[in-house]
Amino acid sequence: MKLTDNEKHMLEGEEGEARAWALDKLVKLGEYYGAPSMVDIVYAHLAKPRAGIDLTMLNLYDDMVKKGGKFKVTTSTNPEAFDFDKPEILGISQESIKLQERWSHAVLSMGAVPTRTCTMYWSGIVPRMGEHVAFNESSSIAYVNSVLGARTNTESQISALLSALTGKTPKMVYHLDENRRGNTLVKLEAIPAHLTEWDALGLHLTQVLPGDAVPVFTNMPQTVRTWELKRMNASLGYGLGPPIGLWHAAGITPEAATQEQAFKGEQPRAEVVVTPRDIQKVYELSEWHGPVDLIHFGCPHLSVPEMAMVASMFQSKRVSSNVQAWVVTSPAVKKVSDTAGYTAILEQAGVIVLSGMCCATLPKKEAREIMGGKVLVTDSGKHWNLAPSIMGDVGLRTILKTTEEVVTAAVTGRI
Amino acid sequence: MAKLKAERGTGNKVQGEALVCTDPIHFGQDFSDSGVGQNPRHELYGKSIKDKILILTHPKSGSGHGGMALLEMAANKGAPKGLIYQAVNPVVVFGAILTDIPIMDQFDQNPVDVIHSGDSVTMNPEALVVEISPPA
Repeated sequence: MKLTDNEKHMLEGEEGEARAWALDKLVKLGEYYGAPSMVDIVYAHLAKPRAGIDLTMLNLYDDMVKKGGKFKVTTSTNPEAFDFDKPEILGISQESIKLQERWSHAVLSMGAVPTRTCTMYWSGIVPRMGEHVAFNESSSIAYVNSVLGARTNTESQISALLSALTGKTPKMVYHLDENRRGNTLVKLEAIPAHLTEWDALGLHLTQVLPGDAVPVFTNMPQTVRTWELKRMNASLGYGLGPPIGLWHAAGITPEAATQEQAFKGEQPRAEVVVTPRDIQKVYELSEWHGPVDLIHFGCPHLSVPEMAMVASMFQSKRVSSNVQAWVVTSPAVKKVSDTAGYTAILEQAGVIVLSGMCCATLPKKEAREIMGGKVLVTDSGKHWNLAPSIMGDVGLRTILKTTEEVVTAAVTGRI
Repeated sequence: MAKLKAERGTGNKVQGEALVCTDPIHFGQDFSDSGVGQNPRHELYGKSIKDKILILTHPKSGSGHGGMALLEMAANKGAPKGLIYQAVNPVVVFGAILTDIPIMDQFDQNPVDVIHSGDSVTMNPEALVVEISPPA
């Protein structure tokens, strides 16, 4: 790998121990993949190690702090395990909250911006087309690459940390022009009619495409909204098969003014047709009839228009006394929702509105207490897929339904 | 003695006992920190991968976190001694780099077809060569 003088000096320790160690590891990763060089990034985004589980990663953060580590670029953060505005609302103990704060303190001391959201692009962190970044948040990868036309790889927690410290990432995978060329034609036989169908579409595509597929949609509707794409991208990033990190659609994604441009003049290597039955089969993966316990909206965190939408669906309704209904968003969007009156409407209906958190980062004890053995209904493909396994086996059962059906389940207490 | 050629590798030369597994692995989900299979639906449930040279196809999909779980396993002395994949991903590679576990992938023959559990395997990531001998 060809290193710049600045990089050589960093490796020699001229910018401190933390950056020297960090760059050494990133260079080794780049060398494994034959990266020609490193590339400078403009943003990094960090996700939190799970308290009580990812102890070694947490220790690594403290180690970087001890070695004088400071972030070189604007570094935003993923959701925490509790809502900083209402920490005990889900019954998380003070003791657990104290344990959770260790990571928060470490990243803040190194200069992080506490966006506390998986939707950093709606919290003031917006990469421009062509900008190189290093994001550790699986739902954001295809959003950054496809919708924004910026460039990120699927980072791990530690590669993103080390990139934040050094301001660099190996020039490989999606940072290289040749790897951004579309290679798979995707035709939608039916245009998604519900929000959740975008989630289901993402889940389906991860079942039928290999990890190096770069889909080019021939007929994505020109009316598609960013939050619909957010949902598809979340499922593409954490789906039922290898993640898809980049796709194109003529007139919609910045690198595809035309379909030919998306393919860079080459022929697709494969063609996929998505039928209505393909989408229906995704819903059939979670059949349930009976009472439910938890209702979840907000994986990824809801956008302002989605907050308005869900609020209007709960207007003049009342959440059943045997369920707990959560609407989760970023602190930035929550602020706007408060001022716009959406939060009040939701709370009037008995919904708990949470910000800056994700139940997937709950420590095992709290995960068991709050979600153990429960039935959770969600309109999020990623949450349906991820929640049962990421907290370890606490016996959580998740059901995927359309947004309307989830509201009905909240009000009736059953499916 | 059989030989396999890899396109990619990193880490020190290492010799150990092979454990072949065609059921894709997610280290954090399928194994405890002490290296014992903890997923009843996984082929290696109840088996130990500690100090073995794992012969694998590709990582299990889902969360990229699987590579980071190697850190926890290494800290708890439950990590494998080496990782041989037909096709790996950058998150697992990075986990191996951080824990100094030698890792190689993209072989001229599929490792799970050529290597048998119990074989003596020598990984030479710098030379991009794996040597296999039958058990002693």
